[in-house]
Amino acid sequence: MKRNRFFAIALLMLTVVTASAQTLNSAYFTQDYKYRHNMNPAFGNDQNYVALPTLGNLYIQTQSNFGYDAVIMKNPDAGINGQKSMATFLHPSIDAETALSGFNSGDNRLQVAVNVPIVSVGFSGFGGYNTIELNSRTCLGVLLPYGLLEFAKNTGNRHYDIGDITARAQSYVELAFGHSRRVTDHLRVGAKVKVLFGTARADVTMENVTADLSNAEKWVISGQATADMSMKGFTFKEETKDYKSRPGSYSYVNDVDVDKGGIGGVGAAVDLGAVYRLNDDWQFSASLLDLGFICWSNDVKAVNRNGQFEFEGFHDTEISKSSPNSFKNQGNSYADQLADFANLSNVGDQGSRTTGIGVSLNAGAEYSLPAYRKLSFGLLSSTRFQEDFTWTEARLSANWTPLSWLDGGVNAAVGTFGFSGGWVLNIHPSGFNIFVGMDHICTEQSKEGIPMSLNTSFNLGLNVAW
Amino acid sequence: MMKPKNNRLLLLAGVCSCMMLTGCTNDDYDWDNVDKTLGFGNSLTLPANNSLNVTLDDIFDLGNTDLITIDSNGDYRFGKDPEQVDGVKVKVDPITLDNDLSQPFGFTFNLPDEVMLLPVAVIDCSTLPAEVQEALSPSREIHTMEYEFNVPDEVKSLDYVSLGGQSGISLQFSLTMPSTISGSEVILDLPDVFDIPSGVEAGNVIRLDNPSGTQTIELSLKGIGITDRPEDGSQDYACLENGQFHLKGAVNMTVKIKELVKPASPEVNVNAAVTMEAIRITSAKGIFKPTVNPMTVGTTTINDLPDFLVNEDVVADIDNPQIWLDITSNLPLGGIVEAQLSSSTTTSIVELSQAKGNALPIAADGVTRLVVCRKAPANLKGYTPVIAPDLSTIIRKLREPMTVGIAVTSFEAQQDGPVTVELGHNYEFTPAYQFTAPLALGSDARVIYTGTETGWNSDIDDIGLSKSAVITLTADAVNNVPGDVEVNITPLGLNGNTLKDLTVVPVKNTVAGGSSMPLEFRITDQTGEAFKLLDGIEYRIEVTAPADNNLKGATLNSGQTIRIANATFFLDGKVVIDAN
Repeated sequence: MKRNRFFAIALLMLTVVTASAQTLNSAYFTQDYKYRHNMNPAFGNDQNYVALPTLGNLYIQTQSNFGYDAVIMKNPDAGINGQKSMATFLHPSIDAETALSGFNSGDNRLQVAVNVPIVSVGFSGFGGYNTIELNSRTCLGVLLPYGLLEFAKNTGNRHYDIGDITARAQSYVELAFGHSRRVTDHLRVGAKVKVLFGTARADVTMENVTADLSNAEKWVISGQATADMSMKGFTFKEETKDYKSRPGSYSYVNDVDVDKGGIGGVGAAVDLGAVYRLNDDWQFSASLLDLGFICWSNDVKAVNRNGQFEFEGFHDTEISKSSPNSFKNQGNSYADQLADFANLSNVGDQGSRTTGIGVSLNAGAEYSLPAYRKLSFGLLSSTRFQEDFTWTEARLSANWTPLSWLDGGVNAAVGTFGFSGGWVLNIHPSGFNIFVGMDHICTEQSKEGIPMSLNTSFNLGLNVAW
Repeated sequence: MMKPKNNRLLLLAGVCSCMMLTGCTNDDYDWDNVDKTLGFGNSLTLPANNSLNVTLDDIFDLGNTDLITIDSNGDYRFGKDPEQVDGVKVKVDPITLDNDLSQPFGFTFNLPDEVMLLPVAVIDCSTLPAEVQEALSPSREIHTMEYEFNVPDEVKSLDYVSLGGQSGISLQFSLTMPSTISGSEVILDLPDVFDIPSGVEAGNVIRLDNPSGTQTIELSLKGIGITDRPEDGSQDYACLENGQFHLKGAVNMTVKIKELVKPASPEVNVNAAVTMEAIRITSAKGIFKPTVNPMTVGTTTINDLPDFLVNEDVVADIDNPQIWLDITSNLPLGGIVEAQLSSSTTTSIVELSQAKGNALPIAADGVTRLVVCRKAPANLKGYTPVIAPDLSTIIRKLREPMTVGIAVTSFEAQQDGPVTVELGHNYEFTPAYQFTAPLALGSDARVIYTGTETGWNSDIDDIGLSKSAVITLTADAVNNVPGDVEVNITPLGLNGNTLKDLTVVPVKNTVAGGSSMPLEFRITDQTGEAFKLLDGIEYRIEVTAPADNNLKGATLNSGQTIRIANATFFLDGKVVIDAN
């Protein structure tokens, strides 16, 4: 629908580019995985490489702490009156306990991240390894508190502390220059400097949402809704309507418009990393990524005019439709109140704002088997700091390099989004490099290809390497 | 060139990769195979203290009717003025008697011997002995008038009849007296039954001194006195017997000789004639029983009923309908009128009759004020109540159009004594009436108001209830109307048809007048599909006579209220939205 167009824009970016390389944590310990420098700028490659445009690092990642089968489940009324075999968890015949059992009892998150490498080059030189990249990075996240799902499924005369409902999307282009070098026999360090060109940033939140239906005489639903949009040429489109029960009119956002678009903000970020080889068996590494900001030139804000909706029933109602206390007029009063609560009203451009881009912290330890150096085990801790969308995981991997041009590994992880398993296969003879990997193995998917766990990542790359 | 071992290794890696990439496809999870019916809520009670005020003014939409009005204090009043009122005409037919001609009459008498033997020639009869004088005063009946005719049935007895101005007696007689009679007196004795206002002495006697030649005496007759028929057979009477008027009277002439010259012959001849003009009886005093032809004296047409009276189940049993009658009569006698009230919607007839003890008494020559009612109203305003307990029966069934009429079926005159009635004159008694009644409910009364609220489906066509859901509506109803109220609700679908699968069960839906009682309705969607078809409701409010005797007869007022308080809506189940 039109009112969600800004989400559509983000999703459009997601689907059009469909591409590449975020960071494949499964390949953190994979030798000569060409894009390890994205996970730790201290890593270099044995080969130089040039990415094939848009094919150099195809990467799609979705993360969620609930599964597809938490939303879609067997329909208990399948076949009755022509009902289909599956249903949403909100189906009336599915009891609340069953319907909510698949969701997280805290915040339920769904995050999507897409990186599009436009240009990516890596080469040895200047005493180390250098990288030049132009990437388009987009991330999208939705956070639904369990209280909201419970309120929708099991509405009763209770008090619901729903919390914050958040949706966020961000897109920017980064021009990155990276260099890594060995500074001692044991220590290798690296850094990237990034110039960030912001395309769009959207933050839609409804804070402190509560629903108090416990009072026998009054229901109160409250929450402060705010939408902040930073995008060049962005405006909210509004429609004006008259109030039904009182003089005056109100305007509400019913669409968005982007006039030409372009760079909406400029920022900078750095990646820092270090790799320390203790001995032939152990290597430790750590990196801090995307430590930066974007300064947006605008902040078009929309808020709900009233942060609270109160419903007290219909009092002293009169049958006469012309009476100010008629059922219709009292209903109109509630409709006006609901319009103020549920609709966003454009309050205009608030001026510039600065936002972070989300900082990642990786820390890894790798152990090579002394008896068989081609096999190593690694433990990687990754944490991405993104306010409500912060996540962390610990991934234990077994990495095998049977041949000089063939690497691979399998791994298992546990973290914010539960358990998952991944793998990677990297083929890098002289002349080309092809790799494929997943941080989350899709064991089962829907007919439309939606992974049942809603956690998936897929990475496929084609590069020229020498 | 790759070694075979390396090729196998690469191939194995490729196959594993493909398998791991794709995973298994679960065809059950097909978005096209997902039912997108959403259910919200569980056991949910809307905030209480919902309240609704309904006044009778809200329910009783009078529209364009003139059958129901509202008094200045808000009381409803039932009634309408008649469009047509005709007076009842009463008359007694006139009586005309033909003129009566008499034949000439003469008589001869002889002078007595005593006179003939007198030695003198001129005899002063006053000096003669009385018996001689008597012999010298012969009296003869010179004319007899006799009438016998039928009188109108309305005449039951007569005391007196008045005669028209032209009525009279003309006496013409010629008196041929011998020349020897030099002084005489003629005495004419007319019938005593005639009322002769002038020209006669007491006893209708006319004396003529020394008449000679032809004499004409014109006398007007004012009237005829009624007497009984004399038992002794005397001829002078006027009576009414068995519907016939009998008049018989004789004119006697006495010739009294006062002085004479003794004739040679004792024979004396006298000639006379009497003529009676036609007698026209213009009025009569007596006892009369005039009759009337049954006729409708007034009709009221009802064309426009208010909505709450048009339902077929409505019973307009008004507690105390009243007909306020002003009957103006110029009939000089009073009487009893019997009448019938009827309407075009029923075969029942309300009779006002002597047998029922509620005939209408009409005063003589004046205005009679009566109020026909089921029970005497508190303020009679000088009217006399005529009780007709079944007065509401003719309006129990109201239809558009209908007429209500009053017809006079008979009039029985009642007199304490004789009265004078002009014969042939159209007397009339004209009713002016107003049919009115405070709108208070009789014991069988039933007023029904139905209303609809529609147009909901456009907002709720995707919203339904789960199959097992039950919506329970409860409330406290305070009924300040002097009538028991019953509420029923029928769900309507598109096109106004009843939704049979969406049942509304009235668990408690009756509130007695003047009391506070709970209401409860339960709404169930039998199929889980009916609620989506709901477009509105038809509500039916029936007001019947109160069971509370203290409220019986109380007038309905536009400001009386039915208050619904503490209304709660409890949903046991889910609201279902079809997002398919």
